[in-house]
Amino acid sequence: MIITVTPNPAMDEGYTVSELRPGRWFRAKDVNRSPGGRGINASIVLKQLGYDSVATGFLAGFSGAYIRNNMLERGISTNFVNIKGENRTNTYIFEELGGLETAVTDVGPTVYEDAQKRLMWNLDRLLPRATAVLMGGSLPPGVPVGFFKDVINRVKRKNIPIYIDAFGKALDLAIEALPTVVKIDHRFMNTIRGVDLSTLDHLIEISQKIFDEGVDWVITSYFNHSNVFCTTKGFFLAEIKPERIFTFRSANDALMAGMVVAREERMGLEDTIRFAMACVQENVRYAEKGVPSREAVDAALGDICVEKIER
Amino acid sequence: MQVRDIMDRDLTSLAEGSTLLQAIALMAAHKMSGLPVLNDDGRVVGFISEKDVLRAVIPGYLGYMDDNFAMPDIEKIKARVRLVGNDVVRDYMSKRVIVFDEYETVSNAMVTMFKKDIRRAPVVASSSLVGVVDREEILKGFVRDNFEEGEVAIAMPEASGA
Repeated sequence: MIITVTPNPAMDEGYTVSELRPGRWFRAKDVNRSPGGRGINASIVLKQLGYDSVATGFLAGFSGAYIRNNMLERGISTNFVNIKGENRTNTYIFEELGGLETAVTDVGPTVYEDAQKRLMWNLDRLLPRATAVLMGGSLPPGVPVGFFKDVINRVKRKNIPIYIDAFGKALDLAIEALPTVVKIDHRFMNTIRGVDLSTLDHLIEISQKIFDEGVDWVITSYFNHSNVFCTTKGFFLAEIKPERIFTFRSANDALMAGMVVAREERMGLEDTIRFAMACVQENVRYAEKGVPSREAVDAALGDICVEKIER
Repeated sequence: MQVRDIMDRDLTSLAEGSTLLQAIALMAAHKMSGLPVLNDDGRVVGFISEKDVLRAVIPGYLGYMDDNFAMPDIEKIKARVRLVGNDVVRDYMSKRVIVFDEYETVSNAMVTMFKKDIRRAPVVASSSLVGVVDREEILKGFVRDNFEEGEVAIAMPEASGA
């Protein structure tokens, strides 16, 4: 069983408009609504790939009820802590003219200490049955910046692999606890530990540093279509086929879900990279969240270009 | 159709050592009328319902309430909640809990639930909690399983004054 942790779940609303300009009103041509947040997105992809997971985190209000019910309809197990307030609504507007996506993300409800304790209690209950834990995203108000680090320490005590995709100080602290797989999300951060994340050289430099500290896999995005993987066998640059890209909305979550599945199935190192990237490719092609099916991901494996970076 | 096809996959639950006040708070926050109680290994060891909580708070009152002239003393109830609120769930839960295997058929589960007069029951896979079923969902599943779509139409009242 795989556990996903989403401290700040959201209701994702994707609107497609022909043209978007500030200061004007637009009518959507298409609306796509789905539960969101890193762990939740990963749970959806895992289900599509044939893997059961238990989604955990904090749910609140009308959007929280929507998230829970939608997960239930998808057949995904849940063990959320219900709190007061309202979960986020994240708005994504896709403009057909320029093929560009604009996003506005919400803040989230305040999560008090008793709810945090309850989540940790739930996690401790689930961990004896877990084979992997996947988490990430932003932290809602009230949750201390050391939240991910705390969870990693709990999971590592049970010798269970833990995957994290986050940013900022919360990620910095999480790395100190040495998770198994780290995805550095630099949509929300330009530097990590003072290193600018704009060039391949810098990505390699910082990945190497984190790897040397004891993280098995360090993944960073390089432009839109590629990821740099720092592994026990060196650096790899992997690229999806840059055709028919609709949205990068939950691409990182598809990547992480793919990593979990590849490692659960004990794929080889390069096959793991290829499988995770195939999940990304099948995710970015559609407005619907996640990937169409396991078959679609398997069929996309041949499209992925994996290249070893010699240094 | 099997129980796993219709069950609620929410794993919200209590520990044997949770207090009654925690049980009340959790039932209210999750809008659930009863919760499974798990031991440290995640095995279902009991089930506590609203009725069990009520019975703990006002023992004997449930029968007394049937009397039209019964006027419960709210102050006494408040004092009683304070008295038993920190008691543990273990002392008030039903221990002989009916649990369904996830592969149990919906028809069998329905019969058992009506026979034993239970509204909610935990669902397990190798003794670990994987979900909960309630009568409403069981009935819905039974209808879906045994009738053609359209055969069971929702009866709408005729518009009046037409």
